[in-house]
Amino acid sequence: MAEMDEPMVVDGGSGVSFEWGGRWSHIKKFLERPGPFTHPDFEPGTEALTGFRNINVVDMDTIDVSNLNRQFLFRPKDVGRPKAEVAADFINSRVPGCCVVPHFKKIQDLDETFYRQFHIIVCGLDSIVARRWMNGMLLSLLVYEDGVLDPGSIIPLIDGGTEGFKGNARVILPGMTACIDCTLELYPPQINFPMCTIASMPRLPEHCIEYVRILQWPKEQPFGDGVALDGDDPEHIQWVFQRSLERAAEFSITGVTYRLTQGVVKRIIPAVASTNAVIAAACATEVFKLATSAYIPLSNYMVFNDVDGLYTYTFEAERKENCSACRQVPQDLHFQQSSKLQEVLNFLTENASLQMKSPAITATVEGKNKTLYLQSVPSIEQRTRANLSKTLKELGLTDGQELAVADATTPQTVMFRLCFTS
Amino acid sequence: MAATKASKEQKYDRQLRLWGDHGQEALENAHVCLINATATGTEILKNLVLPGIGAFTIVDGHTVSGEDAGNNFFLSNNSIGRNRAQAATELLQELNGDVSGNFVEESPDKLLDNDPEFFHRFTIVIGVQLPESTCLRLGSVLWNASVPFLICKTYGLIGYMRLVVQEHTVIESHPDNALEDLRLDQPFEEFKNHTNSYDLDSMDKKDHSHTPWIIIVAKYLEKWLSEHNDQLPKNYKEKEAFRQTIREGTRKTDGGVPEDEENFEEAIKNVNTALNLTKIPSSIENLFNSEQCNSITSQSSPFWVMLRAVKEFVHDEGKGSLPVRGTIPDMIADSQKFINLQNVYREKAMQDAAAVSKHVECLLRSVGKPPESISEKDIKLFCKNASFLRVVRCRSLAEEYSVDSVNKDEIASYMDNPDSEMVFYLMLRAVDRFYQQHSRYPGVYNYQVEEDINKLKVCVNSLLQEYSLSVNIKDDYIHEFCRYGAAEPHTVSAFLGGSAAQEAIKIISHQFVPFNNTFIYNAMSQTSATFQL
Repeated sequence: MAEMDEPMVVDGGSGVSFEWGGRWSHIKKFLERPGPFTHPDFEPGTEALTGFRNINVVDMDTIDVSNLNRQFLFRPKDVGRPKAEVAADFINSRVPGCCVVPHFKKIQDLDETFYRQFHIIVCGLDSIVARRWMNGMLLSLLVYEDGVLDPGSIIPLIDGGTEGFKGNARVILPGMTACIDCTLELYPPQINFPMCTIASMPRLPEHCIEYVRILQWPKEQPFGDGVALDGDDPEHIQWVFQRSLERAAEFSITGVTYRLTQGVVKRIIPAVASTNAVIAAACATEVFKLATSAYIPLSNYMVFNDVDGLYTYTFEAERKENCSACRQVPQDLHFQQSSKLQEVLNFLTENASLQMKSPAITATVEGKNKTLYLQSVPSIEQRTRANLSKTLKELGLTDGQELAVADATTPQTVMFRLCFTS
Repeated sequence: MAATKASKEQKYDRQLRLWGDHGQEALENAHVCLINATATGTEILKNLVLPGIGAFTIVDGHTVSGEDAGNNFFLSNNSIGRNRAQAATELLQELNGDVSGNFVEESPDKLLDNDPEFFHRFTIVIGVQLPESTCLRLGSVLWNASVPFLICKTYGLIGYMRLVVQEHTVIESHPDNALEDLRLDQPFEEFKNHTNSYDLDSMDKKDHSHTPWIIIVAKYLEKWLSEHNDQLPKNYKEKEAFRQTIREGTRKTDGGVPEDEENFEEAIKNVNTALNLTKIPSSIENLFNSEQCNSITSQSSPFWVMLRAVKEFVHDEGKGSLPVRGTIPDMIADSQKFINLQNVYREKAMQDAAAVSKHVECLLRSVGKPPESISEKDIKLFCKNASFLRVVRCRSLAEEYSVDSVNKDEIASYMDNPDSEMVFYLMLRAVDRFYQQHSRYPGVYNYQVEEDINKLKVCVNSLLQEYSLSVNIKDDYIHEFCRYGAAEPHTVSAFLGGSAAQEAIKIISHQFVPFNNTFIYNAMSQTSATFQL
């Protein structure tokens, strides 16, 4: 997260100079000189851009040895320490005058007063759920006056992601350009094997491993009652590995290895330094453009793949007409009066554009706010479970009624409108 | 030491899943030379040191300037005044203790004058921000020594890479969407025997709905051939009719309603690809017809010996086809049926590989080499990848630059669109020319920008004239390249850093396919293009 500073501070207060001759020479050419391809809003000037001085970094993770093949701010001695803190220390010491403030937290642990202070937000998150949450947070900061979006309330979001030799970088202007939810269908679905295959008809080594993880571990509780399988514990993985070999032998399946076992249990995605460098660089270039108006930013999505030569494809992702996240209008839900609440729940989780994880549904019934179903709090789940098998009519819901849905995929509730079909 | 090996397995786990232990071994045996520790250079090296190359040597005669310390993460303001090779080596070395970092405080031109063979020891040489004359000199030395050469340049918001390698063979190209090798159009004997062991009609319900779709298609295909004069379904109409026969094969309830048999649905869905004719890809045929394949000598690399052996196999035991790959996709089936079917393919693949092995042995003997010099393991890997082999041959720099052999067609056809990335290639050539004439790059100082535009335009025109290229370069690009003032912004350097490092890893590991041969990245539009020049 980058915040532009006022004109440069030469003395950092402790007598240490953060300037030296030529320091900004490479960058100045883009700030001081007019050119034929600059952004229409660009005004060349000699007001010093002093680099991105104030940067906040949020990361809930600690450093693992398997990060060291690509996460270049970390060293073997840092293993176990919070990533945000080690990264901040390293950069602050390597780049004079740069002030990185770390937050060893989940992004969800911070609220709108935190995010509101930034000019630009850059994400390198490891899940779609987290991306959707951040997307929702920035959308919640938008200010509409008489239905018109106040551009001053827009905080650009630059998002990058990689998997092996593939990656993508995108620029999102919340409320103006395609948001994360607008393009949800672009993401490939997660592979989960059918239970009957795992339970009784394994064919691949992966099926054997999933059998041990999903069925055998809960049954045998090998490391104690209630002790969950920890993919980071080598002893746990070793146990799963051995049992998977046994399972595989039963069915004459070859190919179970320790590496495969760990990969399946932890859902490991291969990663290298190079792809991450490319995507991070592309994102940083966009931050530079947005902060300086030196050039027109990427509009708005770039994919990269260097398996065979180097391939990039750049296109403009379009806003979805009825995006549940960034469109101001409540989404219509079409159900019969006789449909059960369970059907609504299924729709919210299974629909490709919504893909909610564990939605909590509330509605205003007879003037009172009523929780129809909520899964994440056990006591409320128990209390409302019966509602799932009741019909919408039985629950007192009417045509045109608004339903408020909360979910991990967004910090704000999503409004839906019930439309009864005959 | 065992401890070190285990901790390396952990550290490199995420990348071992991409190139395997043998790929990692190749990296750890590599010695990379970087010329010029500019921001681009150090970013490239960072992405080679982190994954654990064996060693690097930085060749750089420059001292660190204030400008260098301003755009390079691997130099600090304390490095100012020190030799750049040495200063950068320190901060790159500490990225990974497994790597051995070295430096030579010398310009590449001096080394070429006094000791050109210095460069022969490297697995790959990466030259960054080099003037044209140095590139051409070094290019010639490395070409004759068969050392791969990767040229990289960041110029303003443009990134440029040029790969120069005479012949780079790839066995494991890891294609993204490979077609399966099922041989349903020409079933081998063991497969026919296996399908004959199935009698779909007499199977009970459970077995019927857990029979692999490959068997189902094979059975129904057999029937079709006998009723259609041995002709495979060819057009859409026939394939649809064929699908219908399978559809009719689904078991029905007493009431005549089709049962839910997912394996039959899979069969129907896969008919199109299943009926693909088994064919040797034209790229492989071209390799078979190449000089290196047809004249095997004691100097021939294992790749060509094995390729020749496969060619001989194709004309002999293979009866016109490559060795069977031996893998099948997962499909709805009970464990036993699936494993049995998988084993049929695996055993055939082993058989074919053994036959290829015999040819390999013969070839090795015929050139006086011991038959064990190519291992069974390598031959098996080769056979498994027989459809995916790739050979990359890049033209030399001399060929690219010479008036007699410049690739005019490629340049002119791309320039039909005057905003094609090709314009940046031409501008880079033009600024090189400017440097040759004026001993500096255009627009480095603010006062130069305006007056250099015309001077640069003269260089552009002389370049186009020399190569008889009747293309139009818009003034905007000439202005922009003066504006750049040969700046090397860090984010563009970092993009090239990732790109170039991975190409180097491809060269070192012989896995995945390198680009051929010129790559241009435009950070203004976040677009790129690859040209063969």
